Amino acid sequence: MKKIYFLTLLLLGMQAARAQDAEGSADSNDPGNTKFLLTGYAYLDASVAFAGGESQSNIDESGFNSIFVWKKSDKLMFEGEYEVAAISSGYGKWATDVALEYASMNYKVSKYLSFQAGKFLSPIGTFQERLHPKWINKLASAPVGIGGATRMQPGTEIGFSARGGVPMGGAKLNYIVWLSNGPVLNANGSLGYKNLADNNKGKALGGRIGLLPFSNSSFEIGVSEYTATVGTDGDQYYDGIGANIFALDFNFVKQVPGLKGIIDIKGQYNALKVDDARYFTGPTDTQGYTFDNSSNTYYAQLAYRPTSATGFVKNLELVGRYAAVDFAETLGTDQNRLTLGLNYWLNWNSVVKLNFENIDVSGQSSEQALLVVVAFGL
Amino acid sequence: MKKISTAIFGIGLFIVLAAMLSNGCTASAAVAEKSGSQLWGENCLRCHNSPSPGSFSDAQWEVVGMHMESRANLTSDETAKIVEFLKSAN
Repeated sequence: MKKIYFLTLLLLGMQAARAQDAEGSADSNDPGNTKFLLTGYAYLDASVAFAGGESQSNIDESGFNSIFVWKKSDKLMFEGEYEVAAISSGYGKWATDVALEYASMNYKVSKYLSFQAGKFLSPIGTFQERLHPKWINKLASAPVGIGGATRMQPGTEIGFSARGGVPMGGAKLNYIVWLSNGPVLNANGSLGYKNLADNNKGKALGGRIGLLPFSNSSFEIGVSEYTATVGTDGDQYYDGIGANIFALDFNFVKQVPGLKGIIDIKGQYNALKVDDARYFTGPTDTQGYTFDNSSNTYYAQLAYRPTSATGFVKNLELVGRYAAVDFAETLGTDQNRLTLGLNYWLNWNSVVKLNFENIDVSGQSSEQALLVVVAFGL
Repeated sequence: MKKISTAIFGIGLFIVLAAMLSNGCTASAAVAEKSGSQLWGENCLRCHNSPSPGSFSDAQWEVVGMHMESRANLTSDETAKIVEFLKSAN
């Protein structure tokens, strides 16, 4: 697989050189050409949880994300985002979370190819890279297993990527291939995705290809593949242990005259497989144990917004999502979540979301929650 | 499962490369003739509501266009047309 990736990068480089020759150097990097945009979003999360006949309400989190974009020329761009959030961590306790979401330098080589270096959102599937911001995600929560703490993929990558969009007659293709530090194998067989420091010589290689078969771009289907060495070099048990993530995603968005509104259907499936290895419960455990370290997760979401209506109603949006996660044995408890939401759009990027979520955790009684999110695009 | 997923992805990769290296990167006449307004209506909605032209200044639209070309993998021609439409309607 890695040979395929390297061949891809080589061919992309050849294509880039050819495109450069064809286009000449029309770009200008004269002083004064830099354009700057400061944007982002702010949000507040609140919830009322119901379990065992009891309820608990809380203002869970509030924060803002600032996005900086410098267009230095027609070919050079830097984009960065940092997030600052106050997060409830128990009665009377708050924690402040400050994080660099992404910071990447982009060089546009040709019409069909850009190179990227830095920290960037994980391009596996579409949710993390395109849909997770609070003002874009149509529901208050992220789909379990794909977003949030339980996700089966990195949130961000540090490394290099090549990407672009390619017209093909009436259809369109887009692609991204990347190389990064990759995840780290934890002692229990799970993966750690905070990949600032690599624990081995092997780099992670990933790719996603999206196909938009219809000329109106209403439908996209994507396939992602990600392979990484995750075991620590020289470790007696984990040297050379690898992991693989495969993802499928789809997206259908269209104004449907018969329904007098916009239908939006999205979904993603992730399958994670870690090579067989022996794990130990502690220093005194000499036997260890093994298990099939395979997990998978998926979500499907449907939204409808009556854009042909007038007044108050045209700003409403109905959303439903079903998400499920099937963890490898010992790594977590399987669960599924059904989330139903009513959104009111204050303008194109500011929304008030009111959601009902039912959480079924395997072997436990169901829990319900009311979730409220106010998100303002800036 | 790993072999199947690798095979699926490999086929997709082959299609992309074949298109790029065989001068197949051309849009049909109907697609090439699309207006910036039409492309704005079709592409922004794939992830979020379409912003009105007045949401940003002309200079800011150029930055937004470059950002979205990368984030949404728009083609360069699409981006140029969308940005021109937003600037002209601003």
